[in-house]
Amino acid sequence: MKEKELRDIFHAYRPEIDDNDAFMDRLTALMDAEDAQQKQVRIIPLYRRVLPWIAGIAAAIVVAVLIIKEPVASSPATSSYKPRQPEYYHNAPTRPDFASYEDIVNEIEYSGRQLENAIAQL
Amino acid sequence: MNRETFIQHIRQELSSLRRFLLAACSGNGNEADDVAQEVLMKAYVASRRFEDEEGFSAWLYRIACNTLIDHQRKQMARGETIGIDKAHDVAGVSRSDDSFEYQELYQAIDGLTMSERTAVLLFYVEDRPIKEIATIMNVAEGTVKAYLSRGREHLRTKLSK
Repeated sequence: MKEKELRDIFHAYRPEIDDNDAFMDRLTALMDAEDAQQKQVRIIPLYRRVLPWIAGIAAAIVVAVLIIKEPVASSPATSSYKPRQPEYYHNAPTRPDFASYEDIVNEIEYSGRQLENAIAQL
Repeated sequence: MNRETFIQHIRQELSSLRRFLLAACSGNGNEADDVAQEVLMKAYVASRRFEDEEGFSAWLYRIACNTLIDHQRKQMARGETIGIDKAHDVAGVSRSDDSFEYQELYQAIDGLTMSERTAVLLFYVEDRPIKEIATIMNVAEGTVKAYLSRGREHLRTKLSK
């Protein structure tokens, strides 16, 4: 058999394909189903992508609220609170009334001892 | 490529594709239509990322060839390969006359491997050049020529009887 004869046999092969419209209808229905499935698949990953962000933002808000409510420990350099005064300060006479030179010496000695005690306490 | 453009291209290719698949399935109309449906659905899903409208036909036939090979493998794994004699019993009613008309041709095609069958049908029925067949089948041009040579040899023997 020659090449031309073989080619002629295949060229004569034209089986009837007459139900293309019905085939297209079935195909279109399948395409609709595929589109609907794709739409659903697209929504679920979006939700999954957003969920960690929502959780992260919520956690950050909770942490921020806790930090604001918690009293901050004051540091000496920045504190607006007055530091606790040493004991001798409170016992010190505010308006000393010295009757004699001895009273002045006693008072100085007393203050000196209190200062020593205070230093010892530190 | 959007849905409307895809449908437009499919309408142009549908008869030719179904005829090709009918021959590839040795005249078994139901099997050919199942494969055609699978091919077109695969193409539809992939068409969202496909933009080369000029290469649509070659791209569609490439999907068809891969699907045919997968289909044949599945059938062989299940031991379901339908011979040409049984194919006439399950062929669509509207095509029963065609099946008998082309019985000799289908019998000859049935003896070819799927690769030889695809190459022969693309070359003789679709009149596609060897270069394009090589692209469709994802093989070298020399391989297509070898498939055609073996296919011709087999067909000549079968059709000359």
